[in-house]
Amino acid sequence: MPERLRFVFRPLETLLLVIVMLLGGLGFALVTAAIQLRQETNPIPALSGALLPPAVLALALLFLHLLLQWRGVEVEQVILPIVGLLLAVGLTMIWRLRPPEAVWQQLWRGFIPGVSLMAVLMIYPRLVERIRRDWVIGISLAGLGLLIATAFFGVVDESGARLALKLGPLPAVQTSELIKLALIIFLAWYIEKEGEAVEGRARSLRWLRIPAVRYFIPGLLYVSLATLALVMMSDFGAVLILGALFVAMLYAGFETRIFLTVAAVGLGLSLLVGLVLAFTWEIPAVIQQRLAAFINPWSNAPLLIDGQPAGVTIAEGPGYQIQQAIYALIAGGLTGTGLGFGLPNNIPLAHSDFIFAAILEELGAVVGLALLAFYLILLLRILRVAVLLPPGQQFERLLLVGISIHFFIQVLVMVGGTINLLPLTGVTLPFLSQGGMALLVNLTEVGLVLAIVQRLEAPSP
Amino acid sequence: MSLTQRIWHIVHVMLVVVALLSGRIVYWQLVRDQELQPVVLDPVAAAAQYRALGGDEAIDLMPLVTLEALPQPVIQRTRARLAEVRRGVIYDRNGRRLAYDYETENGGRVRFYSEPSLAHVIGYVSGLRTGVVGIEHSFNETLLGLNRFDAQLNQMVYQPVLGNDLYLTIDSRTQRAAARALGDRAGAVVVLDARTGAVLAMASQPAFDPNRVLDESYTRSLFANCDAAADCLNPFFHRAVQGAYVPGSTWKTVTLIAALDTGQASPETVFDVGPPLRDEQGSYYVYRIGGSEVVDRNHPDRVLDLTRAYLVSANAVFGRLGGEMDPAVFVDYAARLGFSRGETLPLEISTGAAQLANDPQAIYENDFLRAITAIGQGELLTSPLNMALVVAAVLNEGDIPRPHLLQAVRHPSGDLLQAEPSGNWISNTMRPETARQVRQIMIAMVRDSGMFSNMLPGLTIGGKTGTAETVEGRPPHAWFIGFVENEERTVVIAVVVEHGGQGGIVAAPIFAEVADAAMNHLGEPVQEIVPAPVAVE
Repeated sequence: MPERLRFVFRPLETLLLVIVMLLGGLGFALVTAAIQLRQETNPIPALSGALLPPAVLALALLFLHLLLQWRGVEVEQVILPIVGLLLAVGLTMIWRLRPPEAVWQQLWRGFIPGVSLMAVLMIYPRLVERIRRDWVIGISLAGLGLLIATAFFGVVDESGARLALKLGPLPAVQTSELIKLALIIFLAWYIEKEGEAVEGRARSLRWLRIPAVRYFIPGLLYVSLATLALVMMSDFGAVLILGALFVAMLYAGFETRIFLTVAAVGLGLSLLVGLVLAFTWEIPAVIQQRLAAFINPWSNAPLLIDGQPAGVTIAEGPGYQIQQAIYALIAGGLTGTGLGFGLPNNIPLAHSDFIFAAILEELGAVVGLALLAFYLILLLRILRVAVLLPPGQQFERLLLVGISIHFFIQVLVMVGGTINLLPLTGVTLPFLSQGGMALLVNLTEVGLVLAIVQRLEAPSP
Repeated sequence: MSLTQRIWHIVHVMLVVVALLSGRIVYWQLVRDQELQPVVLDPVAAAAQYRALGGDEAIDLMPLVTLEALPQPVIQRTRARLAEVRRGVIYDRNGRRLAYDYETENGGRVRFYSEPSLAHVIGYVSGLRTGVVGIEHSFNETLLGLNRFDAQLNQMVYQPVLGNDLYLTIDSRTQRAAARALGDRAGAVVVLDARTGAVLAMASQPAFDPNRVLDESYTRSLFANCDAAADCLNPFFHRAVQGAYVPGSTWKTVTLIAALDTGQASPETVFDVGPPLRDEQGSYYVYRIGGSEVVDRNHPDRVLDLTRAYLVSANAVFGRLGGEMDPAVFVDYAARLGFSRGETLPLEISTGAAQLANDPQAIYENDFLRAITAIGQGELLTSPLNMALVVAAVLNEGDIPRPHLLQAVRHPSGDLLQAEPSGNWISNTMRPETARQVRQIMIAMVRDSGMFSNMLPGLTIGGKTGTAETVEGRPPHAWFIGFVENEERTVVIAVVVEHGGQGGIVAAPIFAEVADAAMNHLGEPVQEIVPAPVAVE
């Protein structure tokens, strides 16, 4: 593909980004003013310090914006502003809920590295091609290897989970975030590579199309090993995401009848394995707690783990967090209590897992529902790129599907858990929750999208 | 099927899921909003909320509600809300503080009640544990200031909210006299300003200390002997306004009003109660009606006029007045004087309802029941406040002023937000002429008995004693209702002592003691009660 280095304007993106930057600055200013008012001090001196983080955010967004203009890319001017908006809201809430260091940590550990990777991918969009051709095996195996290493040698955090790997002087790395992207890349490559062989050599049997089993073995092996490592780490949120990615990408990648056949066999096998496990191996306590809390967070019944009372009621134990979230969202009402005027710090983990509840309390259902709408627009814009790409670019299209499914599952699982629509699972909300590695991975995914986007022709005038 | 089509399927799934998520948010906010309101300041609603959430521990609505049983998040949010609010002070009519918050050594705030005998009137509140009775309950929002626009604005910008202050019509000196006069006898005293209906004092025994009632062991000790004793007395029961007592002869005032006002009799009408009968207790008269007898042992006279009949409390005369009265007139006059079926009194705190008979229709059909109802027995039940208002009607030429406890609601800045209620509760209950006649007869009753001649010199006093038969084998309720008057004011006092004995012997001295305080010492300062130095809670 020829390089086109023709500077173009992206007027819509400029406009939207300006709005996003103003909103970010406004959010930080309001939070700071509210906190100072509560302490009955003059808010003016604190404001200058408060505008630094949104300034960093604004500069980085501006940099990416200029980069795209310099690259001569005219298409897709909505994704970057939406990501910017979500980041602005997320950082504002972290600023509200946590000490300032948390915001800076989020910026230095997640945002700045993420933006740097995005910039690299946007300047060298051919890297996507390189990944497909040369690096995919390395990336997949590195992701899996790091994950398995974490399962055995990872650092144990204060909650007792073994989620991060510490290598020498480097900061600890949450490898369960890396494996998601690695899996997306691996599956996109694998389905593209073997897809035709699988479809071509499949045999028909009445309604079913039975593919040759051997083509599935590497893929299944990869997912199984990753899942096993995650189960050892008790990171069931990641297991859920991996499973969803696997199913969704198989569905997107293969002919429907083949998918259904595989899915039916897979479902049967999973049930069998599940049943065997349920009888031979106990269901992890975390899952029992989450299910009990999901069914009735207010229940005064004693919490049972493996049928034995655990010493607390469901309401005092696992239900507590969900109760807090629901009271928070009701306290917020339609328009929220206003930034700094609610009690979101009552919710345990309000800054990471439960950031959506904090947003619902202080900014109201209006903003909460708007954020869901923005997520939806983001997902649809990414899938739109996948649809517009020529059928030959199967890897890129599957990559985009995988990325959007990743965002989608994160939103579904985390928002659903917060508002008691689903059992609670600890994952992060893309771009909103505190969590450096998750943000880095999510931003890299956006970088991949914006790299692939450059292959689309600008709409003819 | 191409990849594009399959992507469209994924898009559909995404749309459905986002709709579900949004729907769940809307569900919580619209459907479950009321039930899960995070901040609860209304204890009754809190109890209901707790039950709605499936709370299975019994909440004892009387006498207090413990919000501690609610889910933790509600408690936290309620605490946070309360921490921003300074509950208003309750003053008496002279500006003495009756209920106020004070800071404990550990920085917390505790409500203190400086006149414990007002526990039934004022109620009690303390953070998460709160009573569901009294002024504290009925003026909860006012005291918290939350019904004020400027307070809501303050709350929005996290400035402390100052509650409104309440001024009551209570006079501490009279209140203390009423409580002391009653002592530890079960019963009640009500003191009203006859012209305005303002409550000057209201005592009820047995009582409790509102400063200790939130301590569970203290509350339990109040009911300590209740397991065994059949006649367990509930100290939380407000006898002055909720008590349901047989009124006895004090009710003859109502019968007298009805008879005079309808022209059935005049003060001079002479009655012959027939030949006396005799048994081991002495001679007595009877009025025979409906196959039964109204027994009258109260006087030696066979022939007497209506005034004399009221003075000596002649059951035979008043039984006959009731028996011969048109039942509709009888019921009408009772209703005019505030004894409507099922109707409570218009006070700021919750009151009980009087009853004429278990089955109101029986008044029309059962002549004997009507006759003994006319002398204050039968199935009549009434509260002391109700009887006090009958006297107030007599003193106001037939109008009953609206009884009230509230003198003013004031903004923390001092501005008047709500003035003392005025006007009548019921107007024209009788002709002014009738009222004047009854007033004279009540004065004559006191003068004739010579009860207060040396206790209350220089005052115009009228009244009626009552000795109400209750259950077989127990002493009767001792009653006295009446008024005291000088140039400055007229005060109505109603006294009842449960199973106390003779009204003239037991209740009348209480009346005299309270009347002395209300007439000669109103507004005088009392010895102040201050919080104990030990920090509560």
